[in-house]
Amino acid sequence: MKNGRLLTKLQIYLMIIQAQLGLGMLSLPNILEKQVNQDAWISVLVASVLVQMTLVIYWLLLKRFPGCSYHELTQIITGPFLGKTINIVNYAGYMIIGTYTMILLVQLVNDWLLPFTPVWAIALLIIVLSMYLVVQDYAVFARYLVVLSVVLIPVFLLIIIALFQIPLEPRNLRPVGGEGVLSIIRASEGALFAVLGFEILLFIGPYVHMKNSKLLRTFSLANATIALLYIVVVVLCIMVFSPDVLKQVREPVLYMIRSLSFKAVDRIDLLFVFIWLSPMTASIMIYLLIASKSLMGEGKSFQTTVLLSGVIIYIATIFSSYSEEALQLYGQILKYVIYTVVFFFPTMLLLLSYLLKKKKVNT
Amino acid sequence: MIKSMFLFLSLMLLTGCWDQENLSDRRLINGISFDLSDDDPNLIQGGVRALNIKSQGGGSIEVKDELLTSEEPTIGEIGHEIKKNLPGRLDVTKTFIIFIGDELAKEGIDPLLETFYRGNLGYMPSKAAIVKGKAIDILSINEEDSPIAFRVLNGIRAAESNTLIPELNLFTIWNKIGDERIDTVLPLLEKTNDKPEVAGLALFDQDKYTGKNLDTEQSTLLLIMRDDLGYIADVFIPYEQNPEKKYRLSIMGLKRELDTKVSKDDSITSTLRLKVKTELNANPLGGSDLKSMAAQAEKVMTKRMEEVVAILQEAHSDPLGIGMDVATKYPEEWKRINWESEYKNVEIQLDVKVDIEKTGGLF
Repeated sequence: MKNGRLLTKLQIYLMIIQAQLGLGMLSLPNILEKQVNQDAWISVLVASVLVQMTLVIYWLLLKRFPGCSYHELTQIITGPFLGKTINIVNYAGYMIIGTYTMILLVQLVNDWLLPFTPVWAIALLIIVLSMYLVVQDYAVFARYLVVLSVVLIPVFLLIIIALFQIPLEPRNLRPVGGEGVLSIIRASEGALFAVLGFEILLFIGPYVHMKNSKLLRTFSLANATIALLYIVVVVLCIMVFSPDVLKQVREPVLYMIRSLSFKAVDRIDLLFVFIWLSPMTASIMIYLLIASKSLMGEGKSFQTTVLLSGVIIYIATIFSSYSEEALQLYGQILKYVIYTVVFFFPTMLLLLSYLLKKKKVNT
Repeated sequence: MIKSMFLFLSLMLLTGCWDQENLSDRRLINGISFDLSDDDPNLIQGGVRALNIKSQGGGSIEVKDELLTSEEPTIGEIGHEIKKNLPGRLDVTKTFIIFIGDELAKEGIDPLLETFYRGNLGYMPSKAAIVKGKAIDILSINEEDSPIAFRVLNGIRAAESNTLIPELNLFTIWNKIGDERIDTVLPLLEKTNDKPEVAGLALFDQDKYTGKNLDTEQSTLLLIMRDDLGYIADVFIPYEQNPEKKYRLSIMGLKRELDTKVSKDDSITSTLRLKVKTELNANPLGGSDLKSMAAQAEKVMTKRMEEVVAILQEAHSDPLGIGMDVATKYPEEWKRINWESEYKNVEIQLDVKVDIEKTGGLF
């Protein structure tokens, strides 16, 4: 393996954080409040526990097949034919999630930042940037995500400012657990979709070389960080908004920031959308990356796949943004896609690898 | 060569932007008024103060504002109508204050403000105020040097820091008028001698003005009961021996505790405990027995607060948030209780403790 290609612990940590952060955070409080009112934050907690379990499954796969990428691993376990089929399904799945994220992102930018700019122009800028970065492969992309972590600072600042500037109503959080355990668990599905993006871990096999226990610790730490951040944001939103209003607002986090005002700066929400663009674009890049990775390994063929996939995402986005039917269709497919690609396949592969006693032999 | 050609072309082609707008093309609206129309009760009379900013060279800017009015059934149509008369694009992004006539406010203010929340351009930190009589009367006052909306805005800010009215903006109002467990209050303005004046607080039941008001002295007491103090809060207490003359106590610290209990037969008792630390700031008769002065203050404040509570219950307005207390502590009972009719029967007990801790520079 070439030097400088391996990922460090910090890079993996920040990579997972950036993968999970993104568009989901802005509308998460609204989605959860609709289902479980004041108990929204418990659903986030449940979701992050589920993510932790999934991360352990991914880690076991990585441990059993060190240095293997996910697309090789499927073929080792289930044979070339089935393995390739799974890879193609994975590719389609990641592409669908990526396109859906892209549609939401373009709409958000169009709604908040650039109302008169046509969709094709916004989408073009985003996709060209994404393709340019993803073509460089993992190592460069990981370094980019490390630099990108600077965007976490404004989030923390704004949370602190909101704590002191906006009148809070802590009574909105009571009664704790009043919605019942079952509905809280059911609602955690919404939160699960907001923390998606950690699938990138399936593909880091060839780029890590560290003790397995350290790897798991890094995974867990990143997941805990995101869970904490999301819980703080959701709790803050519940306290700031009245339940009725929170159910109406599409992006509560932005509305909360919009109500802040200072002598020197107004409408910080617009600045925030602008800053938040980078993590949101990063999630599209991640799906573009892992979609391409699930077909091709490295080198020229990988780069061609990235470019082709980017074009496909771009065309799909232009045709389906602001079309209610297309969005509904996506919403319906998406659920099954996520369950299949993110949870079912890795679990099945892990079980099969134990049953068939398949393991990578270190050479 | 190709690179430089590309750069050159970019320079020529990529200079535009769909979303750019020049300040000189816009007409900033800095105050809006809504009234019931005199001629037709189904119409709303809207008035705006539009700023015309002209640069006069040498860094000096001339600001002139003009009054435009229109009568239409809804807010959206008023805006549309006013656009026709305005030389430039109507811009509500800097609308600092919205005046609402009291007759119109009795029909509900939510439909009037909704458009400011929904649109991307509405300015959330702006203030809203109820006007005794016609709102347009205040908006049409002509000031010598600065637009009238700025004068009123400064008046409202001063009243906020003097604890005459609570600190409010469109965002916090929105979160209260949609919540059936708590009610909002809005500043009440009055035109006296051709000058706008803060006359107290207008009491609301949900989004409807009840027609009942608190004067400025009662407003301060209400805000003390809510633990919602501004920078300075003063109360004036008559001497026991000579009730004509009053001494002034400034509130330094406040401890508030609201304890609501629902008994088995669904009768609600609410106890409000206040511990007030004060500073004696004006003592014209030179009373020296601080203990008895504090006791007198306790007596007077309790009596006046009871009056305020009686007004609130009569008006069916709940700015103290007793409904919120019931709903969060007794969720089961809350579902059963008909709050609309029950609020009048809530027994509100007051327990006020006053301490005079400082006496300024004199003994």
